[in-house]
Amino acid sequence: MRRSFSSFCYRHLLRLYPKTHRRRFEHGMLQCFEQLKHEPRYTGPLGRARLWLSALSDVLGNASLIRLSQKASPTVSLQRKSNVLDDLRREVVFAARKLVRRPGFTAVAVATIGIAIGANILVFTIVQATLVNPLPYPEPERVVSVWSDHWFTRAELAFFDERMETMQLAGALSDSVVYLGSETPLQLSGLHVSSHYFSALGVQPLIGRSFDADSADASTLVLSYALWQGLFGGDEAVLGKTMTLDDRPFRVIGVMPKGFASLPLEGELWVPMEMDPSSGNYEGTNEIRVIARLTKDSSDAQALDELRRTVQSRRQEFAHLAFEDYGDGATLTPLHSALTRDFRRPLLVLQVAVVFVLLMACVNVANIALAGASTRTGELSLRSALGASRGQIVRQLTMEGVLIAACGAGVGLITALVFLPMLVGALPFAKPDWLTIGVDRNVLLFAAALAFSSVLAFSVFPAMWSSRRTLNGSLKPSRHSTAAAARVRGVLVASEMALAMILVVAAGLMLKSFVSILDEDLGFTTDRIVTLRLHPSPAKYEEPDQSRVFYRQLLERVRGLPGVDDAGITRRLPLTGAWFTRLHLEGLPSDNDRGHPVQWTPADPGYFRTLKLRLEEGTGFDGTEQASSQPVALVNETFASKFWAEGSPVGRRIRFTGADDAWMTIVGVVTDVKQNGPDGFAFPMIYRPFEQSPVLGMRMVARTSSDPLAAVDSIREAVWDIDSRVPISEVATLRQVLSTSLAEPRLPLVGLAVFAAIALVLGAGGLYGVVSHVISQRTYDIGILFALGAQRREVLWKVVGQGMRPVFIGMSIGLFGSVASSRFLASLLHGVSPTDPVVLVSVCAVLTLTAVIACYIPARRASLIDPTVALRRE
Amino acid sequence: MTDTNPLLPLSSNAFEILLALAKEDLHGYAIIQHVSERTKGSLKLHPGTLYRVLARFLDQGLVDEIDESPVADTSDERRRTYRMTERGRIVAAAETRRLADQVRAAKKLKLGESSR
Repeated sequence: MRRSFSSFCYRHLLRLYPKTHRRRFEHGMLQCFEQLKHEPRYTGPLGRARLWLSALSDVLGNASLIRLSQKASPTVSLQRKSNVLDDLRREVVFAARKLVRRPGFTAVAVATIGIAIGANILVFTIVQATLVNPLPYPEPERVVSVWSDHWFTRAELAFFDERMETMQLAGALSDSVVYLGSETPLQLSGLHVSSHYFSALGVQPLIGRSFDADSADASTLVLSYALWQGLFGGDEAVLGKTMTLDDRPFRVIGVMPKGFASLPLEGELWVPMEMDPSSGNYEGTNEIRVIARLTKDSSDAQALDELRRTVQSRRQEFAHLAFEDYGDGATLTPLHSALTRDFRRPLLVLQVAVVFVLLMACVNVANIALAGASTRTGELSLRSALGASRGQIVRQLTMEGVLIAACGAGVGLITALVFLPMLVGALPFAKPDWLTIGVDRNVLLFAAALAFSSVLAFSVFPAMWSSRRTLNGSLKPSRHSTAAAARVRGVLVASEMALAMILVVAAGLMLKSFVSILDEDLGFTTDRIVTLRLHPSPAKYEEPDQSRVFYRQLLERVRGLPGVDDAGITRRLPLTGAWFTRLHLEGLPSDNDRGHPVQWTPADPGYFRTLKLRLEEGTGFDGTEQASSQPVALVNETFASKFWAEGSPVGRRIRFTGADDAWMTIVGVVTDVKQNGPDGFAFPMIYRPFEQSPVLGMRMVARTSSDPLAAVDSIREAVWDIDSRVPISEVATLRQVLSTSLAEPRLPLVGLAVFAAIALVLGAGGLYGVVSHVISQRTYDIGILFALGAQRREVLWKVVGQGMRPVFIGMSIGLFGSVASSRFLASLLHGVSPTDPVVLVSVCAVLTLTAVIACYIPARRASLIDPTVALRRE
Repeated sequence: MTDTNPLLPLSSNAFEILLALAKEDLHGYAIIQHVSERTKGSLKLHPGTLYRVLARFLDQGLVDEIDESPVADTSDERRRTYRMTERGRIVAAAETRRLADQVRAAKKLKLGESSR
């Protein structure tokens, strides 16, 4: 049977088992592994990572258990066992004593390895929780996200649900609801879900039941565990109680278990989705996210095939609906991949970067250990002369490494535990329910594996190298062995510099990219602006006029508050996206007659004044717009330049694609604002006067004369004076909104900056150590140089020059590595090329300067050597 | 009568493996699949755990190893199948009684009707 490379590795991993067990079961285990490998959850790069993580922990754990149980069996000679243990104990004590006698070396080594392992554990914990751990559902690999050109409408969901046999479909639509049963009015995030929602995810309620598959009662609801605890104190009598949401009664029929992950959208409570197709339109309210569970006997390929066929028949079924835009594209993505798509790349870049840091730390410790070993040549040679075998000497040196690595892993673990909560708080996404970030068995195993491989890197190889030299050499270090050791250390310095170069270049690129995001004109002011979200109950404000009156009164009051300069309302704030819709433009038919895609939001004239949006052309909204007056709209610059590149759009007419929608006249062009995030795309956008497009849930913006948050209380009072049952949420300054939206590009920047700083310190420290050591070894040579008439300055630059040679070699290799790896960074960069010459040159300058300083300090010491003392030392 | 006491209680992994073998003889991967299906994916056995438990069962005489003749799959050298022995059945039955007794006691205390 032909075996793949992974089976080859797995077979070698099985060597950890005792020979007898391996002989009996190796074949069976390999067969199992081969077949497991083809299971859906173990395919793809992340699946492979998951497979190997579980294989490693499985084999390590079970092999240790079997070995321990064999040790415990009386067949092994007790005498032999105790001898081995005694030897081991003696070696540990001996190595510990040696380390204690060199506290400086030990402290530096443990701290270096500890910080590097700690950083690795931190990043790995996040990577594992986010990208490797499966979603908390049974058979999570069968849960997929379904997408076909746009999110689904109710009619489409019903259409697909009826026809698809390879999967069970479930739709979810998010909706905010108002709950008045608590002290202050609460705005809760609810999900309308189709009847198969809970069964598709495979999770049953903790108490009560979920919706009946066939006849879901529209007035029932299921609570999340947190809401059940928060509102009802975890009382089981909640079942059957009535909860009034948006002034509509709902009967509680179930509570989901703790940790239930509400996906693909977050929700605190679930109500059945009304499947009446006529209750759908295309303007935002029908963005149903669809997930599905593949049935047991269907494969990904079969499911995708069926989906594509159904998309074809949908095209015929819905051809009469002008507003639907059907393409043929349809994709099935494992839900986990769909959720983690945006942060996979930054996290993997950080993981690679942090492994580089560990490599540098190992090289550094190896360097110090080598320097130490060369001064210990005498001691080691004496031990070998007294009969110690090479193996014993290697074991002694390695045991020191093992102790350093073990202490380092301990320091790293503690560091990671301390910093983990801070790091989780700084993640660019609010930690969703499905994500459990914590130190688990895999993380501990990872730490152990890191410690083990760092022992190999910084201890075993150097120990073997120096023991060979020791046995070949004499009791006194020879000039030849010193030169050979210097060469090895030169190679180590060069490799450190190469790694540092790659890391610092990456950090430099991220920094420049971040600065270029900050430099861009947002198009609005963030100075002293507070925003809050209002959610009047739809039951009370059923008529658009009621909503108009509410906001009219509110704005009047808020503008009159002391400390408030101006105020306005909008549906969507800048940086947070906006609704998509389609428009017909008078005299400018779209390609397929289905209208031009644009973004839009309702806003009142105060919104433009408060955020200081510049009017480029026309009159803007003047406050005279009424429901009964001529419909008008403002457009942004992108809109104007896209559709009327020559000439002005002012005075032209546009209308939404719905059959009944009236023509609106464009009355002005406002400057582009960053509507879709600080590094987001610019899209044609229109603003409608709130009076003509009233929406219930709006966001208020208020510009204040001093601290914006100080005005929140008086604004809240103003709202509740008009209607005490309106919930207020998402209170923040516009600066905070901006800061949150910058968190995503900030994560790789901050991570890489920290790692690059550590890399610089490690690189400089390593170089300093090597140059100092070389000088201490060559004091005699320097004395001769002086005796031959060399000037101090000449000696100084000679030493610096020698130290810089491996630095330049390393930097050249690093530069090449940076350019070669640039495509991995490209997708994270905004407005900067991955081979940006300014960044590359600056990084070379920074590294050179750091290296020169690291060489200069010991070199200056060398130049001050007294030649008579130096010559006497030999 | 076999004395099953020293072998009880069985770990949940061990009991699941016996459950899988109770109906038919199975090879290693088939046991993993049976357990995963029965527990709806909540228990995923890995080869290391499976063969550690099988090694113990073979030593204790709870299962037997049979060499299946490689007719169907000629590319495969040989595939070992495992069969539950009479002693294995007795131990599984004893474990079932032990668990049932515990469940009865828990029910009497009204545990499990709803839990948090």
